[in-house]
Amino acid sequence: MLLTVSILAVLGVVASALSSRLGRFVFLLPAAASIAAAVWFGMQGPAVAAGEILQERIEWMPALDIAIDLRLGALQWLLAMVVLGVGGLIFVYCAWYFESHTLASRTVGLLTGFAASMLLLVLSDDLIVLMVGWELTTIFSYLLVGLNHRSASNRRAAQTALIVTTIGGLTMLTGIMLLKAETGTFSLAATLAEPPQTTAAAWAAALMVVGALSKSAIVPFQYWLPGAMAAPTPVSAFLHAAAMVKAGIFLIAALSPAFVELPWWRWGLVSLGIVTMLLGAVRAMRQLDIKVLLAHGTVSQLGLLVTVLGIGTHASMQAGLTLLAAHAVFKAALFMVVGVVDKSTGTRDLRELGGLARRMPVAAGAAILSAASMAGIPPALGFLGKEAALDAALRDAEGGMLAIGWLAFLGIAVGAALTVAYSLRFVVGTFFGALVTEPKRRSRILVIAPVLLALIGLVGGFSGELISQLLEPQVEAVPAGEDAPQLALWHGFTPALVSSMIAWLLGALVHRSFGGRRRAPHGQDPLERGYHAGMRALDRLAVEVTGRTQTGSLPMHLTTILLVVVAFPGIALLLSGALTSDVRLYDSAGQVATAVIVSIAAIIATTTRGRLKAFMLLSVVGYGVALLFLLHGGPDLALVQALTETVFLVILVLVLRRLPKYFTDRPLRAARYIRAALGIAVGTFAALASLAALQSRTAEPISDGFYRWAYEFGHGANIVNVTLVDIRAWDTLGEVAVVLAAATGVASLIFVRRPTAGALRRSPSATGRRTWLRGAFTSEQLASPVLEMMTRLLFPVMMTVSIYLLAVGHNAPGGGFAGGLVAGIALAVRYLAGGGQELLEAVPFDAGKLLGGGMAVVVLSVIWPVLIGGRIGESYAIEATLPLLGDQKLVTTLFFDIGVWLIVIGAMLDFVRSLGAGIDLHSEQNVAPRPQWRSDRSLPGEGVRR
Amino acid sequence: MDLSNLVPIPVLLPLLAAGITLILARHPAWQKIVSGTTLGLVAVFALILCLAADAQGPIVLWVGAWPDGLGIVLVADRLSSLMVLVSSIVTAIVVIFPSRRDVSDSADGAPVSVFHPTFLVLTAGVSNAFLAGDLFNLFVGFEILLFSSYVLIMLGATRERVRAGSTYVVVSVLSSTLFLLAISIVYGATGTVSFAQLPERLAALDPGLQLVIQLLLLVVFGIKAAIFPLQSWLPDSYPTAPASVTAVFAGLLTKVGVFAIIRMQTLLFPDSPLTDLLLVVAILTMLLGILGALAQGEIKRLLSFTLVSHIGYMLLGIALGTVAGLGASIFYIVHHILVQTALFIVVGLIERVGGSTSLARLGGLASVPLLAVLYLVPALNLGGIPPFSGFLGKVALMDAALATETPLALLAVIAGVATSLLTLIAVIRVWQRAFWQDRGEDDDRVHSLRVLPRIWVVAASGLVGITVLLTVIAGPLTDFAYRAAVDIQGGAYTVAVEEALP
Repeated sequence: MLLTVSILAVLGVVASALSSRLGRFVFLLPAAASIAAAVWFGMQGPAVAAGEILQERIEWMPALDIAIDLRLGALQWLLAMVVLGVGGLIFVYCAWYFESHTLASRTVGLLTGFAASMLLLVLSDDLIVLMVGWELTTIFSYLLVGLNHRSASNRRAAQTALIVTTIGGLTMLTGIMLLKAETGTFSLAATLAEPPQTTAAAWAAALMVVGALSKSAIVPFQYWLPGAMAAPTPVSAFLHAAAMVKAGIFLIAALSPAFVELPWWRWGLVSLGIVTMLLGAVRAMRQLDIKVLLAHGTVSQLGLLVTVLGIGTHASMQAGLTLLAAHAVFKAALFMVVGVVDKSTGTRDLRELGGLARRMPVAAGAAILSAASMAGIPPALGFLGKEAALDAALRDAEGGMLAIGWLAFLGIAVGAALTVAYSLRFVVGTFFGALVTEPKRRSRILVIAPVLLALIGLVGGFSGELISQLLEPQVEAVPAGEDAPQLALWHGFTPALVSSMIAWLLGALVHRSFGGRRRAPHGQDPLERGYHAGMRALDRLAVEVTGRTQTGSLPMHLTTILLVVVAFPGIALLLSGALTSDVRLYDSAGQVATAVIVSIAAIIATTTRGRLKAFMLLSVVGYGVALLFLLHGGPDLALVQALTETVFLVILVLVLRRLPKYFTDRPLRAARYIRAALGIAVGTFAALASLAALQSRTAEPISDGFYRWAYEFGHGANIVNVTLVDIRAWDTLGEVAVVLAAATGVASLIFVRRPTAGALRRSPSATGRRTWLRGAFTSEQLASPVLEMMTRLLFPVMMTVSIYLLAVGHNAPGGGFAGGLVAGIALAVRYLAGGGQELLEAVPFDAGKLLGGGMAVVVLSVIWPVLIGGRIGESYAIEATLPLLGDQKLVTTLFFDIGVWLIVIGAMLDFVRSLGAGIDLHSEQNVAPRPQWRSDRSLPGEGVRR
Repeated sequence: MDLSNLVPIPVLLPLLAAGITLILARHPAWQKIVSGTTLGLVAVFALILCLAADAQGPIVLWVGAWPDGLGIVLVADRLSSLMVLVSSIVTAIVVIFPSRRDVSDSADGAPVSVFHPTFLVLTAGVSNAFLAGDLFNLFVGFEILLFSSYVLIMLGATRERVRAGSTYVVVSVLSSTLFLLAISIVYGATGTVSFAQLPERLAALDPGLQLVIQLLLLVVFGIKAAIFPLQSWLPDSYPTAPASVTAVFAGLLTKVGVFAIIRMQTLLFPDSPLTDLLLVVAILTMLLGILGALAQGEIKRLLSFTLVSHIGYMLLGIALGTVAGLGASIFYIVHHILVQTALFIVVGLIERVGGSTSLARLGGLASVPLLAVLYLVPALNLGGIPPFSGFLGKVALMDAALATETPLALLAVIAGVATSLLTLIAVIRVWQRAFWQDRGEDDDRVHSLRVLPRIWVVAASGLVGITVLLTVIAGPLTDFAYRAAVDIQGGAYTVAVEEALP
């Protein structure tokens, strides 16, 4: 069994590729595989009939108790025979049906894949794997219906079919999961062995039945099936007549042994079945397209199957399964005949058809035999089934379930009459009467498959005993009703036969009165209208909801986040009672004064409109914080903070040249007070939460250990530096990576490839002006000799300081970061004094080399201890007595610090080049934005295309 | 075998390579080779870590071998090593895609080359976030990946990208600030930031304060992960970046947030699952996200909304707080990283072949069968069609949710099913419009894969192949995910970290 599924699956994948070589004969591959497998399955028949179960199992997801567990019982056997037998013939038919090569090559893969998934569906005992097959058939159906996707109505039909059956499929999945929660297993056999009796299980069964109904096109889902006729005819024959639509019927049959006694089961299924049966039959009477006529007929027949199985007795199970087989055989044959007719005459419209029996006698014969089976006329298999169904309904009525039995009986009888009517409409309309369209081509090979199927239907009528035997294990599984009678053509003159005969008569009468109508059907199915209205409502809902929640405004994003902060952690803090009033407000007066200044500067900064002013105020805040660090005893932090602040200011000023003078205040005005309130609330939360945290400290902080270990283990007297380059060197590593990323980012924003943008390169110094700096401005207007001279003097000093800070960092305030910043400021000064050329003079290579080299140094200095058997990031002290310098201790973290130093210098160089020299270049080329005087706007540069 | 020194490799190698590619700024071909090899190597090391962590429990490195737990600890347990593995596979494949234009968007005069170094730093940041063993280092990992993502999202600096980038940067900076606040509160209250020490010390705090910390961290990670109501920034910022960048962002960055939520919920606050709150959030995330997707007419934006929506699934599993729920979430994360990345990559191909990503301007792509398959397979996977991993993940999540037998969990299952359906509708609409429907009258462009570099097609097929492979290896993978969940619930982490103390 697994082998068959796998072979078909593999064929499905490779067949499309092979089709370019094999042409139409590629269809014969799956055909051969299917038929061979059908023979094998056929040979298992006797064993299955004897009640044996063939099992094959492969574990798939043991953690979830999901396994590919195939079980061949009587029901599965029947369906497998339908899929493989009918399917095999359809593949043969396909080989001569398709003319377009692309269409054929797509169809063969999809159709074979479908066969594999359908087989998986019917054989799987694991409900999840069954679900896999189930949904895959849906997808293949979608793709096959949309094969001819040029037409909008085909696309719509494909989508409708997909969505409707997926809604059902997901409902069913929910049911399966609920059932699993009750039974603890996904195994169908285990569930049937011990049916759960809880309410949840009943719900689960109901959800699964909904899935079954959607797949088998039962009201209220029936409208997708006629639409699916957009698929090529062999596809319709296979999916939408013989196999896929039977999946729901199969599931109902499989579940009924466990759930037939649920109070709603019989009523629900029988009534929905009857409604579907009658609706489909009535609609079939109105169609002009014979393929669509058959599709409505299929809907009707599926309704019949659900009705019969819904009765839920031994007899009804036997009748239902017989009808299932009969329907698969005759409907596939009829569709294939339609394909033949369509191909030879070029039309499927009843108004253009008629009298074909004389021109195409074989096809007509097959059609008549099959239609007889459909109409339940002896000795066809369909008759056998329908008799049994009527009989089962009657027995039910006699056996206590009076109302359901009679309802089913009447429904089936009326349905039978209508079926006779539309069968006549199809056969008479197509094959008899006056010849309207002359068939153009003859296709002898194409009729083989339908003829074979029609013959099977005929032979089946005489094999009632055999069928009864084969179905027995499944029939016996139903826990209700007396033993089913053996199927036979002649039971004597029973009420069932009488009603059948009345149905023939009535059907003929109906056909006489209405069968000749040739008016085009009009109006849309109300249920289908409902579906489309639902989809439109969904779209409206989506747009409405998204319009409300997705404003696209940054201030709204921020407001939402801050509101959440206030609403959740904020409220939690208020309710917690973690705050006590025990607060030490300050240590020294200096702290108070600084705090006041910082706060005032911050508050003014929020209300100021001028950019420069705001930046200056921010700097006040920054330097104030540095002062607070110093007052609190952290000279290193203060140093770094002050240097960072300086760099920040320099960079801001560089940027500010090209920004408008004022911030815009337009969008802010309206909600200003709300924003202010939110800001204050978040600020208060931050302060109070920090306070509460410090008040409830229970354990000694980890940093207490730093005092001792920094010197003993890290060999450094400066705890901050030891922390940065050793204890938490890994964090520093990350932070320098951040600096590196920021540097690349700034460069990428400024140095965008623009049509006019050139590059920074050294221009030959043309003038004879004597300057203090080699690369200084050549124009007298820009040059400032005093600044140049100062720079000439200052630069070496600053560089020395930088290296000094780097070297002493481990024991005194300083370190690679501070040192790098000093060097960076020195470079900025050279830029300010002499412009881009001067900077190039100072560092004649690109910043990337410094950044990259620094990064490499940092990483290697972390990795190298591995070579001597240490841990990554470990540090060592090397003590040596050097001439002149005396005893010196070199801690290996110095290399790490050098890397940091290089990266910081590289980043500074990059910032100054990009924001300084890069913007200079843009101004020269007129691509930089030009700020407007006394305004909050700037104009784009004239050289910019966009 | 002592593999501790391997733990930081997924961070160090890319950083080293970033340095080298910066030095090689003038040699784009070499840059490509360096970053490709590095990311491939990282994937190999990640696989070793993954197998080792599975065999011998969490692998721990105390960086610098500091005594007393002073230093930083990096931990590769089953969860983090799996995340590193998946993310390195994704980055190794995606690095192939940026076109020459993306890579050299900066002119010759630029002081540094941009794409490769930044991308490598990004991967280092992602790995660091997964491996971090303390809260502050997690923050550093976040910063690394955030800063490099700021650069990548504005690559080329077109007007839309800068606009979208500003949204992204400002929101991220706000979330980093909040994160820093949270860390200072945690350190203030407990005197430590180590994941191994925190559980004990946090538990000793006032329950009210614990809740404040938990909620604040949840907000921080929630912004990253884009969960309701903190999700609105994402669809405004991701879609404008180049497709390959968006692919990595969508695949990885939000998952880092989800990962952080898992760490926090299981390690720091094991006794406060906040199940009801998180379930409600998960439900709303799923539904609002997918409704957003249905309202879109541009593929990348549509996919960004599905991204938000499916974060809800992962949150659902976390919210349950059970081993089954966590295992399912972990499986779903793996699935979603790969599938979402694959889809964005394929959208990149669609953009090249069809000339646009706007549904109104696309059509007739079904005439390129390989592209059709490359789109349809991951799209159906995302839409929860079996036998693909998305379906299996949902089955695992539903299973876990129904096992708790609470009405809210049932509601979440229903919402999850509805989201699955709506996702399918969304991706199928793209299919109908871009692939099946013909382009209008002006269709003079020939659809052909020939406009694409061959390596793109190969790499995209490889990635899609991996998403399909997830179905085949679903058994071992779910086993692994559940073992990882048992690990993080059972306290293996803390024990391993303490045993490894030098």
